[in-house]
Order: sequence, then structure tokens, then C-alpha cells
Amino acid sequence: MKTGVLETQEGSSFVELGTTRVTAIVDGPKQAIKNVDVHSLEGTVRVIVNNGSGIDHLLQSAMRSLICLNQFPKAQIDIEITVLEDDGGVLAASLMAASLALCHSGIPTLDICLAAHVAITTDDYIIVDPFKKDMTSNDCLSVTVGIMPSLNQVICYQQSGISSREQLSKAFSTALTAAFHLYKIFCDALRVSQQT
Amino acid sequence: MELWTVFDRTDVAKAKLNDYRPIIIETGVLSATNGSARVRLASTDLLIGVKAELAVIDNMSAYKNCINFYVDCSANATPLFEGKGGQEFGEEIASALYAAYDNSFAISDLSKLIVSSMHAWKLYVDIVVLQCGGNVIDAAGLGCNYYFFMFNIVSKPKSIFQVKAALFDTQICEVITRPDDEGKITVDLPEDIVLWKLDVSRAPLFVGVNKLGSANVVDLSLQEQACCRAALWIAVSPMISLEEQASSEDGDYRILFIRQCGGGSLQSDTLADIVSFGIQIGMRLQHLLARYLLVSMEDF
Repeated sequence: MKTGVLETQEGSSFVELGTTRVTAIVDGPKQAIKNVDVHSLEGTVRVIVNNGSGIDHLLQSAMRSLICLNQFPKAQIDIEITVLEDDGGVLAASLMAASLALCHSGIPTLDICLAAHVAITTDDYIIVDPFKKDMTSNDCLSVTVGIMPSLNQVICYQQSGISSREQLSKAFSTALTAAFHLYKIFCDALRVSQQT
Repeated sequence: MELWTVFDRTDVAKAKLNDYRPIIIETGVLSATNGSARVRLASTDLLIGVKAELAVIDNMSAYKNCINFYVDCSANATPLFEGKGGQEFGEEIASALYAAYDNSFAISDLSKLIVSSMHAWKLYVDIVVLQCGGNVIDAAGLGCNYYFFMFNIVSKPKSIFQVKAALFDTQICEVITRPDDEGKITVDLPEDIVLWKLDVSRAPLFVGVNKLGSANVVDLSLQEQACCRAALWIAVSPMISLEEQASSEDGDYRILFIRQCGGGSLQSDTLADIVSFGIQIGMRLQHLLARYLLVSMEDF
């Protein structure tokens, strides 16, 4: 994990999970572009994902609960995610990249966001952060969890594939444990950016 | 008791947190489609049409997307869907439906859709949101939380498209007898017409569970939805047949899809409670829908 990868941008980050590489750029808070008739007391978050499909809604929902939006009335925060390489776990990497970029830009958030991707294959093996080739078919269970570790709250949760109830709870607890392990790496990346 | 003042129910004294508003389902409402349904959940109105097209596939081993979903958020539903306003919302629903159906469990007859080494049936499912439920106060988040999905390929016996699906299995014999025709395969329509249906006994149903204070609530109206932040979409699919579903609510099930949306956060402890709550509601809905499907099949 790295912050400040773009010198001209005040909030930017780079997250690498194995061969999955994601960059995030935060722009804002700025005046809202969209003409909204209703006066919103909270700010809005807009997420743009390049080279990724179908994860911008999840990221937007997660970032809305992460950022203290009540401090930015009538403002808009843009988060741009670019997927440089995809080898599984893009949603988890994007969540952490966006949170890292928000911290680097100085936007107040409730907590940091840690994410983990866990899969259970059809022969009932649990794989933490699987490669794309490990996901042999669409039938195996795939769980991505994004958490706020200090508050112990889940801000992003997506499961696809066929699963029973026991498999789901097992994968969920494994994903939580794997996400907590990334706490030290995340804080170290922030401290390195503060020293420079 | 303060919780009850939030709810917009006609009979507040008898309303429960796990109750649904009245659901009306009609099938065969569009004659030009291979299958169609109209679902009304109190004041939420959805129109669903399924079209089957024969597509030429170059690489059959890498063939995906045999079921395509598109959600059209009509501006008739709410003024917030004007222009491109409903596009993001429609894409979100379509991706959820696609993720729930993109496996070999939900529709077990997907291999039937492959006719030959070059041809396969492609199903296009179009959903039109005609009305968003309740008073239109703030439908910016989620207008429709519940998506009842039903394949009913045989809605009109004179429809010509589904005839090919069943009959092209017999065309494989002719393919073998003509191997020297530049490696290509032609498809013909036999004279005898036979129709067939997809097996929908394991198609998933979505349940949207919302967290309101410390309560788990299903089937929110728009007023109640404005008070909630976190929502969880759960797709539950039973493993038993349609007749067994119609006879009992209990049975083995599989979870095909879960997604958290709405912009709020959830405690990790309560997430398991919400999942079990949604599964229980989903299996009850499957039970009621299976009874309706069997009755409508007898009428047909």
C-alpha cells in the first residue's frame, strides 16, 4: 500500500494485493455538479471505476457510511478508482484504496476501511484472497467484506455463488479475521505518508 | 411503541415487521414475448418480459451471459428517474440479478439452451419499473427493494421462438451427417412443433431486509425507507421441487447472493441475524409463489 502516488493530487493511493493493482484518486470536497432541487444537509459521494464492472454501487454505498458527510453540506466528493490489473479481489482492493486516498486527502472519516475476499471452492476448501484461476466456476462461493475495524461495523458485504448457511458464516468469519490482519499494514502506509 | 408511528400501514395494530404488503402477480401479460409477468407489490409495479433469441456463438467453451438482464427505470415511476436519473439504479438491480442467476444451480436447464456447436439460445430479460411504491418523498436511494422473478417461457402456444429451443436438439443428428460443408452448421425448423419450459423450481427470490433502529424490517414503503440507511439484499433458492415447495415452507435451501447497499453500516453480529431473518422470509415467499405457479400451470 502506498499513498501520494500522484504528486499533483492531494488524495491518491495505490494498493497491490498480489497481482491485483488498484489506484484511487480523491477529488473534493467541491461544489455539487448535479442540480438537485432538494436541499441536502449531507454531502454526496460519487464513485467512478475504470476497467472495473459492477462494483461502483458497492463502493459508493460503503463510502457513504465511511465519510462524515454531515460536515459537507451541499458538497460533493469524487473518488476515482482505476483497476490496473485484475487477478481477483478487485472490490476488496478498491475499498482499501479509496479509504487510503481519503485519509491522505484529509477528509474526515469515521474509521479506516479494511477489506478481504474469501472463496470456498466446490470441494469445500477455504481460500483467502484467491487468484482468478482459483475461481474455477461461477458456482463456488465468493465473499467480499469491508469493515470499519475500530467500530466493528460492516460497510460492504457481497456474496455470490452457491452456498449453504454454514458455509456462509464460516466464510464471513474467515473474511473478518483476514481483514483485521491488514490493519497494521494500513496504518504503516499512513505513517509513511505522514513522515514524507 | 414509538417505532409504530414510523410505519405507513393501513392496519397499524396488526402489522408485523416481517409482513408483506399485498402482492399481485400476473403472467402472460405481453403476447409478443416468450414469457412475461407483471408484479404489483402494493403500489410498486414491475413489468417483466423475457425474449429468447438464437445467437451464433464463435467460441462455445467460453460462452457466458446466456441470461441477460436489463432494468428500465421509467420516468413514470418517479420524477427522480427523469433522463438518466434511473440508470445507475437500474444497473445496480441488473447486476444483482445477474450475479444471482450466474451459476448452474438457479436454472438447471441452461445446458438445454445450447443447440449445437455454433448456436445457442440467449435469453433477454427486460424489467420495466412502472411505479415506485408509496408517496414519492425521497426515492433517491432505493425505490424497489424486492424483485420477484419468474420464468414462464410458455405463455402463448403460437409463439414461434421457443419452438426452436426444443426442436434444435434433434438437429444435432443432421449436423453429423454434413461435416464437409465448410465446417458450418445450418439450422432448420421442423414441421412438428413442440414447446418446452425451463425448470424454475430453483430460481431465487430476493428479500430486502432493512435495519430500522434495532428492528429488522422487510417490505418498506417509501416513507419507511427514508428512515433507514442499511439494507441487505438476500437471494434464497430452495433445493426441493416445485410440488414440495408448495406443500411446506421448510426445506433445504441455498443462498445465491447477498449484497449490502443503502449507504449505512451494520454491526457484524447483527449481520448474521439479518441473514437468517431474510432466509426465513425468502423461503416463505418461495412457498407462496410455488403454490401460485402450480395453480397457473393447471389453468394453462
